[in-house]
Amino acid sequence: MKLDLRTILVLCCAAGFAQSAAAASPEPAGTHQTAPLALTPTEYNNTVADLLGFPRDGDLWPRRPAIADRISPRRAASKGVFSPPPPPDPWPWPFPAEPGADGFEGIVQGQSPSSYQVEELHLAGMHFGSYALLSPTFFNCPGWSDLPSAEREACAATSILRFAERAYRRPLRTAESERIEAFWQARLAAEPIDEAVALTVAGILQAPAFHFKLAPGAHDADELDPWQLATRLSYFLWDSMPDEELFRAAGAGELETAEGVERQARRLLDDPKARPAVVHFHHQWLGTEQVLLIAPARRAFGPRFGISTELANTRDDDPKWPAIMGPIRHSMKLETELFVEEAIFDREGTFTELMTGNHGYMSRGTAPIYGATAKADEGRSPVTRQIEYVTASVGRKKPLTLDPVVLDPAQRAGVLTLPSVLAIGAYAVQPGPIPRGVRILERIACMEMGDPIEGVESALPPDALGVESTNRERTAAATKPGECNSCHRRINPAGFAFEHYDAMGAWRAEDNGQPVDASGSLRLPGAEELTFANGVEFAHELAASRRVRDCYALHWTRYALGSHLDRSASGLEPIQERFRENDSVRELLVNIATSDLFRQRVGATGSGADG
Amino acid sequence: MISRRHLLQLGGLTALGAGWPGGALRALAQSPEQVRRLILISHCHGWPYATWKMRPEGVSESEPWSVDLEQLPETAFSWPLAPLYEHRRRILALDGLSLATAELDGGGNRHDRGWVHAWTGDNADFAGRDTRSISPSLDQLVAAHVARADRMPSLEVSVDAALEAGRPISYNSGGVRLPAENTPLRAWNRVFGPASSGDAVGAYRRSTLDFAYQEYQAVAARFDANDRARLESHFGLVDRLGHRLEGLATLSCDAPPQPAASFDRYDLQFDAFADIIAAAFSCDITRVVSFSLGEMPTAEFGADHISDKVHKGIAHYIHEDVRKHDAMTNYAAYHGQQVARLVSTLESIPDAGGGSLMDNTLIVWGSELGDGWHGYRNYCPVLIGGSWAFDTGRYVYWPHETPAQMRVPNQVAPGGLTQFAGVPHQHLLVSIAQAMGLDVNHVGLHHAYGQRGDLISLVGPLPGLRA
Repeated sequence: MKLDLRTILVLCCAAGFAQSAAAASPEPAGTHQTAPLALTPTEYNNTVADLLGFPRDGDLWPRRPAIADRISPRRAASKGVFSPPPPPDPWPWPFPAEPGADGFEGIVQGQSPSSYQVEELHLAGMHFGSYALLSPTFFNCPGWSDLPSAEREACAATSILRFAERAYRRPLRTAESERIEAFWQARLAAEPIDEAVALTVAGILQAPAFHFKLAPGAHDADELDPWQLATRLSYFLWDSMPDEELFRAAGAGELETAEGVERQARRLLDDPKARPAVVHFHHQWLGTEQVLLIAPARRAFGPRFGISTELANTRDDDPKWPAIMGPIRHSMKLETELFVEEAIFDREGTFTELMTGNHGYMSRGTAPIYGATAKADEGRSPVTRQIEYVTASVGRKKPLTLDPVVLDPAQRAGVLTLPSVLAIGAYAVQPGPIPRGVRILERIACMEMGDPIEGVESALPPDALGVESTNRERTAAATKPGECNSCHRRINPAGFAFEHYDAMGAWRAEDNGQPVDASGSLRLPGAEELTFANGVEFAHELAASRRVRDCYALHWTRYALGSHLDRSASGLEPIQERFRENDSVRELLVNIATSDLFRQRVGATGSGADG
Repeated sequence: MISRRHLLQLGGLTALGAGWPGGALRALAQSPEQVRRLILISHCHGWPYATWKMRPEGVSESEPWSVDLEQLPETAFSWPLAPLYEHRRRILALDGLSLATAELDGGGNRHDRGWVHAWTGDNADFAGRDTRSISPSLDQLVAAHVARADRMPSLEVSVDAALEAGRPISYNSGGVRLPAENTPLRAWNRVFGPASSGDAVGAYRRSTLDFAYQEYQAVAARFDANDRARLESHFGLVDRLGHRLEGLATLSCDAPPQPAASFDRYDLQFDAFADIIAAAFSCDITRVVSFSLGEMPTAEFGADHISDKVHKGIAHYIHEDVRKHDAMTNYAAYHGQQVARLVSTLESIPDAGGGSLMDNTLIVWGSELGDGWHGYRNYCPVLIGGSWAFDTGRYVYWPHETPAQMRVPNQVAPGGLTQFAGVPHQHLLVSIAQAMGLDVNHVGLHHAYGQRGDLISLVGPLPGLRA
């Protein structure tokens, strides 16, 4: 007997949606919606983990269920030259990266679907659909697989609808419930019940209401309805779907006031799920995930790590440098994450701390970069993570331990002097004052520098050892011509400020036998003049700059709304003004969440997006 | 429509003997524009340059030159290139290229680095659990341009008959290597299976795609035009993916017979893949193939008396043991014979728009390395076909003038370094991309720096190839 899904739902639906689902609303028509933002790869993976009740650690998921290969077999893969390709992890799904906008994912102007992305979304849906059968939370009855047939079907039916409501992040509409029911019934008629469950869930995970953060469209008001606001809030602060408490608050109307939103925002920020989400923002802001691709030259840095500058012509020597660099790259990335998390959640939590703190983390690999000036900090605990990277053609998972250190405050100040940030602004041999300077101006001070002149790279100083003069002098000479000066009068001082750091981020007092000159002054829009003797002073000046604080608040607001807001967007100024007065990052996030901008549709604010 | 008898009259397929059952191989209606197809073939361990190169009388080592292959006798062809003599009017043998950027890339194993650079033109990414690329491979760039929306964008196959499988040469835009089918039977199932079986898995997958698309249609009217266009761009692709599954399932094209479940010889496995590729092209199931050739068992090219391992028993020692150098010469020549048979197969099948399949196909025969010693210096690819874009039938030479130091054995250059490299192969990738209709002026890296800091531009096609 096939049970009527709607009948079942009224009897058995999940607590958070009991009232709303029982009174499923009719399909509204003709209403204006917010721009439909798609889930980012990060959001998708976090969401399916939360939906299915599994931890955000693929090692703790059960093995891929056999049914996944029945309904969507993996294509047979050849083994690689020295190793077989890894089987798909249970989680996360390796989606292609979003094109992004201004370096951030989850921005409407940076989302552009591709065939490849759609194929992967389809395969991911089939994969995670199968995991519903192993989920500890999917079925809302105990012992599902052992139930008599009719009860199994009934339980599966209600579980599917409960899942769909959580996946769609709002009560289902009548017509939606009917369509899901029809799909479920069709699958059940054609396939064994476990396959029918997996396929129905797979369909839900490909539906627009899951993949896009859609508005229910119950009315044509400027303000978001509570379900949409709950969705915006949880993806802003957690990179994932709302939890039961947030759904409850939405259903109870508690998000209709700024106070209600503030209460939830503070609760979300206190939850451990906020930490990786906030760290994720900073990786995108600083571009520090790129540190996994840095390629410093052995001929310049080999001796620092105990090997010669030149490759011996023996195969044994081939993998030495790659084996050194693999852990260093991951160490730099992990240190960035730990630094940001500690600064915002475990220390003062201010922008000043983020930009000037001198607490660091050092691994055995990065110890030669920090040198003797890094002092062990007994008051904090070492952190060990399992890291995977390729050595000698084989992907290996190895523990990587970072020890807490206190860094010399005369040499290090905040995120901008982390080796990760410095190394991604460097060439193989020499540091890169131009990429470093451009990053400061564009990412930290929100200035638009435009594209370099076509073919200009041929004028750059050679990236080589044994060159004459200092890196600063060579760069200054190459950028002296008049057509360069309009941009480089700002780029160069911002980049030269970090000349005390070599291409791997190590402190140096001399460059090519001459004392490093990192002094300079930089005039920012708004008539702020920053004058500094070195990178540490520069970082302190930036931390206090109105322009820089406004820029940081702008990045966060754009990220929260998923739209590349113009700097002059109405509603932005109060957020920035409060951040100038109180540079607590947590308070900034709460202020954004309770702002009119956040609680309304972007299109209703007047200024809208500029992209 | 091409009848079976017609096929047999034309010479048939290499390994099919009695031809295909079902009476006919029907080339599908082609789109109005001329279909162009691409095959990338990549073998292991490069070429022994000393015996690969050709030096007609009077040529210079310090100036670029080319020679008309149709004017040369077969005896003038080098041993590895001799098998292509019968197709000499179609080939461009390229002497003077290098994988210079692989030398300059600092990470990973030289094999991994080589195959990523060879086929993506970009650096490799060794940060994760699997070697990845930073840019998509050439076949995927081309597939995105020439593939039919309702068909397979590309086919990846690999001959894995010995200890070491074919190298991963195909990478998607996310930098992830695409798995290659390594048995002809599975490749056949992928290419022709749904057509003959009404594939249940295809139906499963299609049902979820249909549900997602119908959900979109149900809500589309509620959005304004801009937002609807956004959703449509996503769900249009969902719908197309469903149609692709259906398109393959309802393809009106007779499949070649299923190949054997396993093959005891490398050669037979190669030919079985060649037949599948030819049939897939003829049916317009796909237009782009990457064909990775794993190591050949030493017995197949007569070197089992030296070692049973090509990689560690023979290839590494080409500069210090003349027997092993000769063995790798035979190894390259043996691959040359296989490539020549694939060309013959494609020549034997008429194309829907006139001529043969080969007339509208470009084969790029390259490798993961310059030589088996792990060298990147002498990279010796051969183009076959592509005469719509290239002036074929030539052996072309460029001197090594790129300011990048290349590792070589001490026997080759004192100190184990040469001061200059051959032309970076990225220029060839640009030439191929442009020949396939892409409007690009670089593939992968845009520029690089030599070890002495010299800027090396990687922009623009290889000079002197255009028709």
